[in-house]
Amino acid sequence: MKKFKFVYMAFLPFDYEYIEKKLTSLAAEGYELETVGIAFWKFRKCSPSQKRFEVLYDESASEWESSAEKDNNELVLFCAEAGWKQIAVLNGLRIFSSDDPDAVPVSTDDELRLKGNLKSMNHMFIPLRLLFVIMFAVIFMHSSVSGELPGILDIIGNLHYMTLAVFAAAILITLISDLICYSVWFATAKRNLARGRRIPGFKVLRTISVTTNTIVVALFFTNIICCLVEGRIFMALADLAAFAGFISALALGRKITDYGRKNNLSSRKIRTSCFAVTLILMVSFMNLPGIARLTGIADVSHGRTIGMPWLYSAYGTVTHNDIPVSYSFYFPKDNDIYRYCLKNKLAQYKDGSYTKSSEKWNADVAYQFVPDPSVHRVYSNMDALLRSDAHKYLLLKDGAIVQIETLFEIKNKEMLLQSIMEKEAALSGMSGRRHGSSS
Amino acid sequence: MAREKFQTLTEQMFYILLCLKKERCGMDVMSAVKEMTGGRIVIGPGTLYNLLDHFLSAGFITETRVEGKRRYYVLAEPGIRELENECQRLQSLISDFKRYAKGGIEIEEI
Repeated sequence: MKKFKFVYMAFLPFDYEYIEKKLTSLAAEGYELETVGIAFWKFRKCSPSQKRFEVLYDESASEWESSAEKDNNELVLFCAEAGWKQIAVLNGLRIFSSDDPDAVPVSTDDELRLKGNLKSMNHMFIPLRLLFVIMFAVIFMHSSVSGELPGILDIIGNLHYMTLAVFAAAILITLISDLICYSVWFATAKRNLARGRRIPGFKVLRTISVTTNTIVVALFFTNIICCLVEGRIFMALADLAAFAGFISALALGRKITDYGRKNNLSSRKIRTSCFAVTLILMVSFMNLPGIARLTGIADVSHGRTIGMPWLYSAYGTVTHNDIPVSYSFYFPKDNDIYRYCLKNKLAQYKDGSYTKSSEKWNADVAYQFVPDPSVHRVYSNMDALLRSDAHKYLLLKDGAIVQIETLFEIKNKEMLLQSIMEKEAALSGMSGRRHGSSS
Repeated sequence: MAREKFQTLTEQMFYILLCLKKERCGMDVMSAVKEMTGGRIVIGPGTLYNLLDHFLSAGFITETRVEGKRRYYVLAEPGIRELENECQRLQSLISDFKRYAKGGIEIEEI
């Protein structure tokens, strides 16, 4: 018999019916809640019981609440004296259990419970989702439909772009569907109460929510598979590393919370520590290349981009002694190389030929900026090119890695142009090849 | 539940305010209401906590002292007025009921 069990709790925070039913059925099977997680909750084996569970919405409830704060909380005290023990606390809600079948329910006023639910959701659930909706809408637009970005054919023709756009779209749909589900449920609950009926269940809406969430997770892994299919193993590993980093940061945050609770630290201290550690870990995992670049321990090769116009973030694999470290770094739009590229319209076509083109950049030709023929990168459009790591570091023929600003501003610009001219000369000799308005 | 700024009081609200005529802590309120109503009205701890919070914000009750982990409350002047208004409203309902349902006055006659 397993001593512990992890159960996927597919619920939205306002879906108290699901939490209560799930905990009741697990208690009947002989499992009691040990800790709550992001998606999986840990249960400990015990003897089966007929415990009752109730979720109470309290906007002041915080998962960083210390033991001392819990003991001094008047609500928890009321519940304890009425036979209800607080077994878990999440942001905006508390979960109580009782062994006493005759204990008065924690909530005896459905209307008040619904009002508390709305207050809690307004505190965390709704603002957070709205924020993510804006963020992923920008990513989606930037990675698929805006300005110089590829058209639909480019997206379809490029597995990575396609999965990125679909991924962003799926997250958007998930977030919006969560918000719609809540609005529908809340409106129905309010109407039912006004007519003297009970607050409705959430079964259908829960199914919609779980389905969309599953699609998003599936697309995340599809994205990784696409990277593997395209031969970008480092990218797939980087995706997995970022995912692992994210999970590790959350797990560490949980450990800090547990430690803080045991040692009676204030919720403010626990929360601050959690945020600080999580932020440091997340930034480190997502920016290992940036750190590597700043400290000079690694160079950047290979790259891909993701659209965040205000950051112009460029994701690329960083290697050190041929070992991939990780990826991602940022550079500003007013970078010298950005201006240089715009001014000189440097480009290279899919077949490897170069041009210093005067034609307008367009989406149906894949451009490649290759300052040195030994560096091979393919970008699906100019926007990706301008945001790529290619401008930041260059691998020269002699194997040296130079920073792009130095390259252009001081001495290596000539070397670059020389290499382009050499390549153009070589290509001009090839029969049957002509591209646009190569100069 | 507070219906639009306490225009009317629910039974639970009514009895909480009523039993706070005497200074009581939260748990005493729960048992007092149960006793007063012979178990007809029971107030859950979560509901009680929320209602006390609402009443405090509205100034219907005031916190008198803290003893250990217990907080004590007592009815304030606005709370007394609210109870009296509710009582008056209920009395109007009863008197209308008596006049029209029991007193034989037909509504069509009005």
